[in-house]
Amino acid sequence: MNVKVILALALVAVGFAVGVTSFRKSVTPYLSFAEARRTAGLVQVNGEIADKNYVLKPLEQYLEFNLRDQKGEVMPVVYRGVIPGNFGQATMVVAIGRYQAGRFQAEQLLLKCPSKYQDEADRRKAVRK
Amino acid sequence: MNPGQLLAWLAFLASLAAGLAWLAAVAGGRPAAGRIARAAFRAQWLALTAAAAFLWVILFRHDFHYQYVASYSSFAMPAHFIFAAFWGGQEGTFLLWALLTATLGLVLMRLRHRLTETAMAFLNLPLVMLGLVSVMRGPFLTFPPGRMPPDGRGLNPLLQDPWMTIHPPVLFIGFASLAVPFAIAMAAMVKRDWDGWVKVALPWVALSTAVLATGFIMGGVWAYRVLGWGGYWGWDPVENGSLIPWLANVALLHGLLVQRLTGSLRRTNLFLGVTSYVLVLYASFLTRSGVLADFSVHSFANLGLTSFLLSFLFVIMIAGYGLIVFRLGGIPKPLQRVGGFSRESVMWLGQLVLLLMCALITIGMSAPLLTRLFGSPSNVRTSYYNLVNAPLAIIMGLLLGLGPLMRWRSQDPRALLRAALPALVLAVALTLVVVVRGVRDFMPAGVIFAAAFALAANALVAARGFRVGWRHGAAALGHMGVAVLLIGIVASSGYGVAAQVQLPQGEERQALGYSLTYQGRVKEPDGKDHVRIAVNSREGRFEASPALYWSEFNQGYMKKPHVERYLTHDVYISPLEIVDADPAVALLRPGAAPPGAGSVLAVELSTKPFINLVWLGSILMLASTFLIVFRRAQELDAVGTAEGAKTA
Repeated sequence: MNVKVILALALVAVGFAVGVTSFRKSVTPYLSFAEARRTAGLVQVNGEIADKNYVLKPLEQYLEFNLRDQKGEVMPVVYRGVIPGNFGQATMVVAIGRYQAGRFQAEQLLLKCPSKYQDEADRRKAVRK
Repeated sequence: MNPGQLLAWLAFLASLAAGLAWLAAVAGGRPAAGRIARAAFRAQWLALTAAAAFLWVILFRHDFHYQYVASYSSFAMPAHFIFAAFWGGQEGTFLLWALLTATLGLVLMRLRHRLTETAMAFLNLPLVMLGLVSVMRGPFLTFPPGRMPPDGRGLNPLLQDPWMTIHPPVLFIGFASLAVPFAIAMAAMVKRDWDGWVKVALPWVALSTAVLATGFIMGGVWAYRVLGWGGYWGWDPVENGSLIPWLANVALLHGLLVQRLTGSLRRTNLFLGVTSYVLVLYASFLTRSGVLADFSVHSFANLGLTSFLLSFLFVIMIAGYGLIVFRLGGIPKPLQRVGGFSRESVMWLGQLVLLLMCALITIGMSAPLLTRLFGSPSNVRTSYYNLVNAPLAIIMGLLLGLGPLMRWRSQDPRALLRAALPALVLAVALTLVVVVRGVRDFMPAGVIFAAAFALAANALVAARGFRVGWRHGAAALGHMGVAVLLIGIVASSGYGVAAQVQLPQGEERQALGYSLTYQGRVKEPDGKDHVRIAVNSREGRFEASPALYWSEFNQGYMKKPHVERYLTHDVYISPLEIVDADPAVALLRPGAAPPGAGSVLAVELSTKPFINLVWLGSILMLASTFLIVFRRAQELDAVGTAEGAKTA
């Protein structure tokens, strides 16, 4: 085997080692609320806003609301940061963060609002039926 | 059947006829079959062109009988957005993709070469697939009688931007163009023409490199200046989807150059020719089938195309990789293998780095699918891409600097050291400067060192080359572009400052050495609400006017940042939200009372140091790739004329 092949194999090995460790470091699993409560690291949960009793203080950049997942379980979520302007219309919320002290501390919120793509998919489904 | 649907059927049937006739021509060697195939292919192109023209006609006539017209346009839209509504939805983009592939096929068909007919047979394969989807789920489906809506829904305001008229078609030319190297590589394997395909494929591979890069650079400019992502690249599946075929294609471009001069890398290049196109289809599957719907804001929703996209992918994969496996034993070993200390060895390593980048990005964007196999589906954060690509970028920069300084076949190491010394000295000097100026982490400093080395080495090579003629300097110019781009990326993304600021109307607030005063909202001539912010700083004063308006369509705020440009940096002001001082009235919507004097605007203020290096690097890279397309096309022309003379 010549030097070139050894060098190349080393490169590939290093590349994949870096890949695997980075992947493990960056991966945020989508979990159910029960699983999220048991996990220490950064996770993603999703659900809908459970009720209208949310606390929204834009000036203090503070948001507190209840999230309900598909199983109907409800979990309080706290978020500190700039609050997305369309929070009130969100149909689905994806929260990335960790479960601490009885509440889900979100670092990032992704909001899904009723979008035309969704409508369209639903309409097509209806047409096909 | 409406005229559009009829044309879609005609195109589909013509593609089937052309495919069968080409099979007959290739297998039976009958000139008559070849003539029929050419005629059918031209008919297909005409039908696709007419279908595209008809789609524009119904869009401009606001013919809301058609579901597509009602979904993506409306009476209120200005003409240039109606024009762009053609590719506002999935159905239209498939038609566009088919038309562009067929147009490139017409160009390929003109080449007089013994591979042409076989290559056309393979180029026709994706056209059959695209023709099928245009018929089954194309843009010409109509509403049942009596269900026609009075007005269309209009195009998503996010897409109502001048960039929308040009960016998607350019990207689709890039995607479509990768079918040509694929087809030529397949033809080479069928005809056992292990080296003859290289010269034919080179201009096409260069064209794909140039056009795809143009496409995603345009996307980056759009994201930065209009969409307000705060950056030009977000590692979104849609962006990655245009990057991964490009990386494989750049690896192929370099592999073909090695093969042309040394005869080696035969198998690698055939593999890359197939893989580039497979990656286009894989990316289409990921972003258009809805499998990532939970993970990306930008993916299209599922329109029931999953099985179609999967079968498209599998047909091409089975044909491509199947043929490679079938022919593998028969590919003769080259007279001279890549090896030793030579330019081709460095280029081969460079290919490997490009493919590693490509593989790791593909794994990242496939994370939700891969993790689903083992448990709950998970996504990777964008930090993953930066982590894996930084070390590879360092190796890439070093190879990029060394390669052009080296000789083909054999290089004396001491001579290389002498040649590389000036560039090394410059790179060390620049790295020391940036370390003193505050770059203290290993990875960014390493990327800057490697990129500076590549920049200096290629500047030397380019200067020598351009003195001989533009053909000899073009490649080094592109390498300089990549190096400048790398430095720009590290500087602008890693060393800017950012802060979120709350601006009560009429009051001055300080952040990052800037003083900002929110003055109020105005309706600009574009019909959108803008907020006015007076900014005062060391660089002088300016008035920022980012857009922040309510969109009924999206049920949310649309935002467009303000970018104040300076030579060494940009000041980037991104509006986040506007709230009334009374927290109970959090949202501002049409019909609601306008915000009083007490409203508060939240913005993100950031600086982007040396962002102009990103644009400069991109321009150099694009200029170089288009020069190379021109050069390789000229060479192919010479081949074509020679072959034509031989057959005549």
